[in-house]
Amino acid sequence: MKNTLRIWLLILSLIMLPQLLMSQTNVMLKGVVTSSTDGSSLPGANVQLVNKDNRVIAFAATDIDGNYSLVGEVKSGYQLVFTYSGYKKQVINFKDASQLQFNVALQENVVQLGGAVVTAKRQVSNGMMNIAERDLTSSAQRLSMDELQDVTGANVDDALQGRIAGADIVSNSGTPGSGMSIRIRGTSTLNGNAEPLIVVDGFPYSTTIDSDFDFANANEEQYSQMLNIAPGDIKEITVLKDAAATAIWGSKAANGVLLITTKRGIIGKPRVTYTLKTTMDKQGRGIPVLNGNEYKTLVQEELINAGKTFDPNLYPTLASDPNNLYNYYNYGADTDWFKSVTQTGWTNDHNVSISGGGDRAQYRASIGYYDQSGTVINTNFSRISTRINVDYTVSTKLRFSASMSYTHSLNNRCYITYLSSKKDVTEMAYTRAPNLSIYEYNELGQKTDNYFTPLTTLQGYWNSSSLSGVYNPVAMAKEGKYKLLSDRIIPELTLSWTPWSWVRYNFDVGFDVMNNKSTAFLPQTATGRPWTELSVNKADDSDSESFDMQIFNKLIFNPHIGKDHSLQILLGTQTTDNKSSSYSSSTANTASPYLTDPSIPSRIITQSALGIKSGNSEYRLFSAYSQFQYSFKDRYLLNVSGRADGNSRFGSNHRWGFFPSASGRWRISGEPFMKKASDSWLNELSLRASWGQNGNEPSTNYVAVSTYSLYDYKYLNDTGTYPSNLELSNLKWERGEQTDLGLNFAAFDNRLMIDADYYLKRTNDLFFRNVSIPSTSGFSTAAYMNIGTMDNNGWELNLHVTPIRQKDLVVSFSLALARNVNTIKKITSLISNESGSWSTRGMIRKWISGQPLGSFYGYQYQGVYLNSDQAIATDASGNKIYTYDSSGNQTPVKMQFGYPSIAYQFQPGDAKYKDQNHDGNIDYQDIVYLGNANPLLTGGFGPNIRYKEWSINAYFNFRYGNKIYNYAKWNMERMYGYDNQSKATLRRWRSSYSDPSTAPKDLLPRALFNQGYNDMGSDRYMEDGSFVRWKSLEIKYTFTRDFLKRTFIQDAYIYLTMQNLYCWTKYTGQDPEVSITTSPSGDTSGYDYATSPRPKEYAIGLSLTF
Amino acid sequence: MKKIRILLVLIIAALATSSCDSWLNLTPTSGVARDDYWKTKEDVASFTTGLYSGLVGSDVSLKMWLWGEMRADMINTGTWNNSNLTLIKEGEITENNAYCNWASFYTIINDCNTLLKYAPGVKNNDNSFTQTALEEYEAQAVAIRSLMYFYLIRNFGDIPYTTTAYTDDTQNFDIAKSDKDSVLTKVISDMEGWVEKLPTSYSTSTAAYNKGKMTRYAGYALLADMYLWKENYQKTIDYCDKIVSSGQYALIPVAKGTEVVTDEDTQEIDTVTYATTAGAESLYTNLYVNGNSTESIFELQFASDNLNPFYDWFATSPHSYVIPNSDFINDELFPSATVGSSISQDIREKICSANNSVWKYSGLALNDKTVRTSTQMTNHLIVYRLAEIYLMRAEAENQLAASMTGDAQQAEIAEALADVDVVRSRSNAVDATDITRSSQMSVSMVEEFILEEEAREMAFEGKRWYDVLRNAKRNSYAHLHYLTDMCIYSTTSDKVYSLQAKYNNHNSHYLPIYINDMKSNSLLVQNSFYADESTTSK
Repeated sequence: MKNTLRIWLLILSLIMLPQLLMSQTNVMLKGVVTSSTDGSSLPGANVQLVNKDNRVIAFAATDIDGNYSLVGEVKSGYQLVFTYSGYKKQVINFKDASQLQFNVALQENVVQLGGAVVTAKRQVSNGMMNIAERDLTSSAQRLSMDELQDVTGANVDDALQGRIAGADIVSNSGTPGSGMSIRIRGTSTLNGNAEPLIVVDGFPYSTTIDSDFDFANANEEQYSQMLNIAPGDIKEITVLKDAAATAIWGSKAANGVLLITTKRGIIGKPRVTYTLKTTMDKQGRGIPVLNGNEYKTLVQEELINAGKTFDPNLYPTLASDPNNLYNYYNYGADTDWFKSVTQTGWTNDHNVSISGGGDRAQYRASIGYYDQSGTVINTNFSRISTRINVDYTVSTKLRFSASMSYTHSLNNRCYITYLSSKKDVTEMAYTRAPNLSIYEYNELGQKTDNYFTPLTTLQGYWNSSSLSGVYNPVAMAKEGKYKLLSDRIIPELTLSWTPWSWVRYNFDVGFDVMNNKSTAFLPQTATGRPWTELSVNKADDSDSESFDMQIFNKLIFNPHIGKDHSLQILLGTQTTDNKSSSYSSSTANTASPYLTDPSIPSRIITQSALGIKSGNSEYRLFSAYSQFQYSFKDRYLLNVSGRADGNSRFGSNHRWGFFPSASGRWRISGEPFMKKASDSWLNELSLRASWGQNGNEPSTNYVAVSTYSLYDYKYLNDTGTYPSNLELSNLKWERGEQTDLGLNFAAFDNRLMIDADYYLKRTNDLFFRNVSIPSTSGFSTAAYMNIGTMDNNGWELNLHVTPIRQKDLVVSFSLALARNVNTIKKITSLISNESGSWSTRGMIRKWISGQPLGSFYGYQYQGVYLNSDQAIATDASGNKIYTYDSSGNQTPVKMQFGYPSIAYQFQPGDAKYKDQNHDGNIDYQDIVYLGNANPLLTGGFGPNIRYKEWSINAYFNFRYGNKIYNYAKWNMERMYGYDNQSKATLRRWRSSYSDPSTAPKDLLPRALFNQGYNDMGSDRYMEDGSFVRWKSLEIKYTFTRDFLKRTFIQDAYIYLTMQNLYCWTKYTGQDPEVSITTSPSGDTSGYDYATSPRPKEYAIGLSLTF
Repeated sequence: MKKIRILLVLIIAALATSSCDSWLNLTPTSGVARDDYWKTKEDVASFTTGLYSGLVGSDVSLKMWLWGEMRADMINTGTWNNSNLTLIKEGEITENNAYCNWASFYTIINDCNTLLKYAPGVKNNDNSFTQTALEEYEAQAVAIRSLMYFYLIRNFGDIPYTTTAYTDDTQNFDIAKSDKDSVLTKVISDMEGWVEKLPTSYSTSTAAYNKGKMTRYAGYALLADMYLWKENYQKTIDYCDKIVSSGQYALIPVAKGTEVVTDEDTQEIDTVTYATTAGAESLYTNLYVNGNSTESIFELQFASDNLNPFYDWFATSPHSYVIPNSDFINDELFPSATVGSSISQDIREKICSANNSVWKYSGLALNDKTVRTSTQMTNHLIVYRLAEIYLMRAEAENQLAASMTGDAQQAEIAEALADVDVVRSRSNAVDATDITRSSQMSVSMVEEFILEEEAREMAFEGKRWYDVLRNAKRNSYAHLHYLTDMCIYSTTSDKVYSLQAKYNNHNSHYLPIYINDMKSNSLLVQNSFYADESTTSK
């Protein structure tokens, strides 16, 4: 890499060389600058001598009397330029080389607002090359942030939700700081990385971090907040959807590309803008759970039903014995754990920006402060973000721009989140036995200040070696500490050199430096474990840093080849080098819960969980690419591109990939035969067609190398080695191929705009992560495998109507609609194509060719066996089946589960599953298809009304036709263990109903400890996940200029925003908007884990511009 | 022209960066790439240590214990929720049950195969690596592999047998099952070929090295055990003899005292021998608490940096996964002695179970009942010890007697009983558990007696299921009743009948192949007792 740098330095000096070699004959120019209005002299006016390329040769500023003098060379074509703030620019061309005195009177600039009509073509960038939006041959959608500047939320993705057809954005949970999943045109990978590539100002932005680098806490989610660009800094977001648009991004673009353009300075006086937003988050109530007495009754019933005699000596915590005051109070409480760990969250978001500039330099600088207190106690998030964008025009031939952003964030989270990124204390709060007290009562029955944390409980204990288990959620939330400190600096430099008007050379270099520090401390008070254990007063401190360098070289040719033709050619290379390293130290048993740093002398027990660790990782990518954009008569447009990628994550056999694309557009409205329509009502009518390929890479480094690792413990004082992974020398790129047909239509002065697309997307050599392979090989899983082919076909529609467009009243309406059909085309027999089986508790997922990803399989639930008579097997016509016992008596055959290997006889009160084949035996033959998690339709819509100074925006998003596996319901209604259950279990079967008609309709099966088959995956937990959510309502008032004239404020508005107002749905769970991610452990799309429901948000905001 | 030249320089520079494929060749720093390993003898030594480190991994070591007990009558489920264990106790075993996953055993088998493949090549690189040293490492790999296969055969019956080292994804991982008898024959012949290459000791000063690694005697013990399973009794006796006569091992002695027992009329009726409290304590401390005793042949070494996996299982009683099955232990194993019961007791009773917990693993002291805390779970898992060798030899001798008649038979049975008595007298076994001695002993009576004695001596040491199954399956399941009788104690009362019915199908004595393997290996066929169409019709 050093060599590469050296080469660039050499090239840069070469570029400067011609200027140094020029011969010079200098003269002195002088004069006075005055105002033409009153003739007064203008001190501090800018005077520049520029050459024919508009490059500044010499520069001076006038003194207090308006005099200037400057020394420079004078040639024909050179100009003298006078500028002064508030006055019009004046330019003097040299005609006579002998004239050396120029007195100038500048004219005052009278600003006329609202008069100008801008007719420039809207440019869209694919991140590499700018193409006019109307000439775009591929499917891309641009969203200006003006449309959603007042939406609450820390991150951009929150604001984008539901606004772009074909982009399905779902938040992973309502927990602050947790990320969003974005899917463009469906999930095209089984469980490779399915998130789109995000490109900010031309540089790919890393939002994930190598999992083998982040060993310390295996916490991928903390980086989800990495896309933490303040929404106020964003100018627009473009979503590249089809392969023709994304092929230029090659190997990382298989899931689409999200291009983010930040705001840059514009010519004008400095404008200072201040915005403030205050938000209140109201946590939803969650699933109602049993209280202390109801819980005790349930558990006792479970044990008795399972044939375990309830012995108060063995189970003292379930007995309420007033003679034992300690147990009576501590185990006789009625604690609402969920309420005790949640609160109302508040968020304040301040942003100040200043922007402006002159002819040569434009700038925009912003600083933001975001402060959020979470809805779980003792969690908060604060962030300072700054961004500076500077553009400087050296001459018409040479420009450079620089930008720099810096973010500093501090996040206090639950200690539990440190151990497992997807968890927080609310999970334990749901399941913790409610008969346990928060604070301990002493033997006299008096409440103390200590947390009640018994060494072991029925539910388990805090396990020191696995660092998980059962704990007191309040103690954990208040005492456990996990602080995450993050600094990220992203400087970027772009140099653009235009030697001739038809060729431009661009050199971009971008760095991304990220430092994360996490400190965690688990005091004894949080878990109540004995002092000798290694989780007691355990202090962790880990640092990780990553350095990313990206270099682009681009040559853009724009030859003039006649009036009817336009051609743009791009040639370029990209190199990426990412290095990351981390270091962590862990100690335990510090002397006091107040000594929280590992540097303090403490015990470093020789346990693998403690000690010092370090790790580092590197990733490299090299690409060469080319793109042609050609148009003939502005009616026939063609785009061809190709990109070759070399990636260090693949073995030498499959390292290089080539990704071509081609696309075209026919502007029918430009044809002569459409002239009549075009002149009167039609603005645009075009057809687009495209085809392209792109790829996907594995998300971890070094999968193609078999690594020998060391055991982190010793055997007889020696350290052992083992091969830790299988070498994946056969792993290939996951290849996407996409064909897209599109239509653009605009009419009636652009008051009706329709964009429609139809696409066929096929992914070959699908990645599958952590594939189960025969364990007889010594490895149970392979990190990655290419396993098959999958299709995503569908259409998208964007509609924008403006029925009323008057001076005082504008009413518009927009609608985004998308349909995606996912089909697995081919799947290798090498892997297990289902998760779970007929005897697994919980839902079965299968990947079968011809069927969509995310299919659910299970039993059909038919209620409860109300009495023993109902538990007798019946044949197809409903008659009871009988057999004869050894003494010749006729005996009824009981319904069984899994005969012969399990042979469980159903008892009264057990769940009844449909015996599909009437063999009296519930087994694999009774498994049926129950639906799938893919929605039929997704999208959003909303009106936009502006009346004079008032504007009202509402937005609704929806999903239709998907099935949800209500995992939370499954988990909270199992009655299988000691976890607390939902209030619904009060309706459980408790005794036989001899008359079935007396039984309540919504009866649940009986409680049964660790036995029976009442919790098998069935349609009892499958629900329709369709919903329409009133996502946001915003009311905004803009102060009139007449009103503001008396103040120093230029622009001002205030607004009120409400988020997640209401959700129309038949779904009975907490929130039908469930995660669409699939985890490496299997397909979990459509699972409703319901940890925290999505909070309602109320925000007020203020924006002032000076 | 100058500009064109500069442009050309730029293009060339851009292309220059591309011409390096090696720039994209990166290797991890967190470990050694395989291509860089297998260079020195230290690499081989470290890899061999890794085989033992694998054995003490929590999954393998837990299953080495659990598989021997989970279906037997020694243990009951505790108050803690462990649904997989509960289902196994109820006889409702399915291919989903995580305790049927053999993956960690095959990981060690593959590590052994990897060593056997690459270690010989190290000699070309490292001249100081001698042939003897190489063979010592290879012999250990073969012995550990054989041990793993023997566990698999006893639990799964027919299993895939492979000696291929799997290293990368170009290999074919699918492999079919082999018949259990042929696998056992192969494993025995592997072991026979290498056992003499195992060193008799690894250290002259530190006992731990000779107990924690595969010595030649540990190899003999494994061979004796395998031959017993294979019903080749003479071989069993031969290998047991080698161990007993080696002079390397001795039963830990227990100090005894005597007391004269009188009846109500102070009439002297008997002289009773009893084990002293200190004697019992010393046996408990040496054998189970400290480990690496003179009696031990091979035991897995746990330490403070790698605790054993049993804390959740026994030491948190009554909130634990497992508690001793007190009905079986009190009624069958250690019925109270009629005479002198107050002083003369079988010390193994209190050693194996106390405080409603499996005291062999959960305690630190016998008499004052100190419980191990979670950080003190460093006790070893004994795989073979001398007492078991005596009992193996007794069983083999008794079976050998079955093929004899008359005095020869009685002499052979007497030898068997003599071996049993060595073990019994050490622990002061009481008359109530003794067999009625006579000049006409029947082989089947003695067989049952030895089986009971194995239960008493090896209680909770991960042997019970194999002992019962081995005796039940002998001579083509001539004594299936050993298994069906056990159901009375091994499962909950409402499941006894259905479990007995299942045991009539001999395939039910072996575990199902775990679902992950069934789904990913197209050549595997599920044990027919558990088979259903969804996994067999591939």
